Amino acid sequence: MLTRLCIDNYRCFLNFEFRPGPFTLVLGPNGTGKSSLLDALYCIHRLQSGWTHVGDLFPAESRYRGGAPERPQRFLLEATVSDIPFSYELLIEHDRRGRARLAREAMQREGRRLYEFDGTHAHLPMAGSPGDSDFPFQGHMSPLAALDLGRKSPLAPFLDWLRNLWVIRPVPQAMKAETSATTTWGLQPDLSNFAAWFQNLVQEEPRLAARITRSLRAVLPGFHGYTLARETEKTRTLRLLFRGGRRATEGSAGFALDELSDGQRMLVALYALLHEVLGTGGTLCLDEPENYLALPEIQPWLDEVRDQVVDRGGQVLLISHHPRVINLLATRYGYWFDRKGMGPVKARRIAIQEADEGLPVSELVSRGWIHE
Amino acid sequence: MSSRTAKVIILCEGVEDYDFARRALTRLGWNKRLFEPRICPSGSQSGEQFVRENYARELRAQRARQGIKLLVCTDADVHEVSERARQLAASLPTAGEPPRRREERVALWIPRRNLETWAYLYARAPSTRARITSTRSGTRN
Repeated sequence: MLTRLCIDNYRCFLNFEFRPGPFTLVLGPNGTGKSSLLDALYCIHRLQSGWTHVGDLFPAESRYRGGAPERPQRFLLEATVSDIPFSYELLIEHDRRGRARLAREAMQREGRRLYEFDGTHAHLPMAGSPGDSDFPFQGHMSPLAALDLGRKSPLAPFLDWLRNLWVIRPVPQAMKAETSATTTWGLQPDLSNFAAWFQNLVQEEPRLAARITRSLRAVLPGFHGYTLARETEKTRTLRLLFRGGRRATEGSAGFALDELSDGQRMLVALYALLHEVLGTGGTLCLDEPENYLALPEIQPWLDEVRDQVVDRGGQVLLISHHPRVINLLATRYGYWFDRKGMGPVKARRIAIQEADEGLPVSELVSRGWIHE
Repeated sequence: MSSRTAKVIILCEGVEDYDFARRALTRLGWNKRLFEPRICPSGSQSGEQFVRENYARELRAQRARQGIKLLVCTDADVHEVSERARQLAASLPTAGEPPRRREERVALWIPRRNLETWAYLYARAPSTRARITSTRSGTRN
């Protein structure tokens, strides 16, 4: 679980600190860094999830505007994984031509530094061997991402958690029914490769896929299953099967994922993520997921999410502007993001003034009366 | 095509009461998609006052529909449970609503003193719990 995030010199963040809990609701006006917070997390996740260049994730334009050009970008993540506290630090520098390089990367476990990269050399302990390892490395990508440390490495729990951090900014219109021949790693934040990801899930974790199917039967009237029919040699199409009439004996019809409404696609994705991420104790960051849901669907989904967090130890970071979500959860789990003009973003716990007691929080947000 | 109709309205003082009620009902076999909360806005007037003031309104809406259940959760606080139930009942004639009848699908959950007391008792003090349940059986509040 992510317990602390510090960001300096990234987009609208300057000396920014944020301490999320198991369930965190992020609120704030437009342009106050809510989505940028998720972008930062996604970029750090990507840095550790493959052969990704630092410059592709943290270009010179991602620096805080108005800051000193020589000031490096800094990120600090603190997370508790399997009851073990970890901290992970990144420092990224840009040269005069704007090219990014990793100037420092370090990780601590239970307060003990286990890994450090100083921009030219990486130093880390080797599991199963008495000595440590020092090796030269260039700062175009993370040495940790390039190495296979193995499951026994003391760094493995944190790296597994970070590589399984989910940042989702759903765009149901982007969800295609066809699985691509060139499947990209993981689920894309816009859910565009949902079908391919789901196909992989069905193959790798059939029990989980069955749980998702059971959930969807309760949510989508008439839904009773899915098929992944082969279209070409390398592609398949995800179709959802619905019974046509009221009686079970009546014929069923298959709808390709992209033939469903935006709201239905969102329901499919949200319940799949619920089981895949939260059901396994992962961290899920969601940007306005309720945008496409019909009002009666929001409460059951929120209840289910909070139950999974409590029962399975998952973590949710939710950005929302929806009055239903705000009124239910803001005073308990809410953070308010705000900035003066184009200045840096500040995050504060939601607090209601005595004079405003009795007004719904969504009303206070609407009136601009939160943390005036 | 998605069509959910809330069947159990949970009128309560806070999110904690709502979570307790829906999780308890789910354990008892209720479909978890049927619940709809009506919760006192945080930091508002006392939760008890909110529940009492909205009891008649929710009861009227429940009576106007078939198959809807109303669950009212409010703490007894420093009162007896019967006193809190009497206060709720007294709010009905003021709002022009007839008294609650036994056959109506309306339940009052009134923990004494509050829900947290019982959660603490059951979670943290098993010996106390055993003593209380043995000496107070039959008068469970």
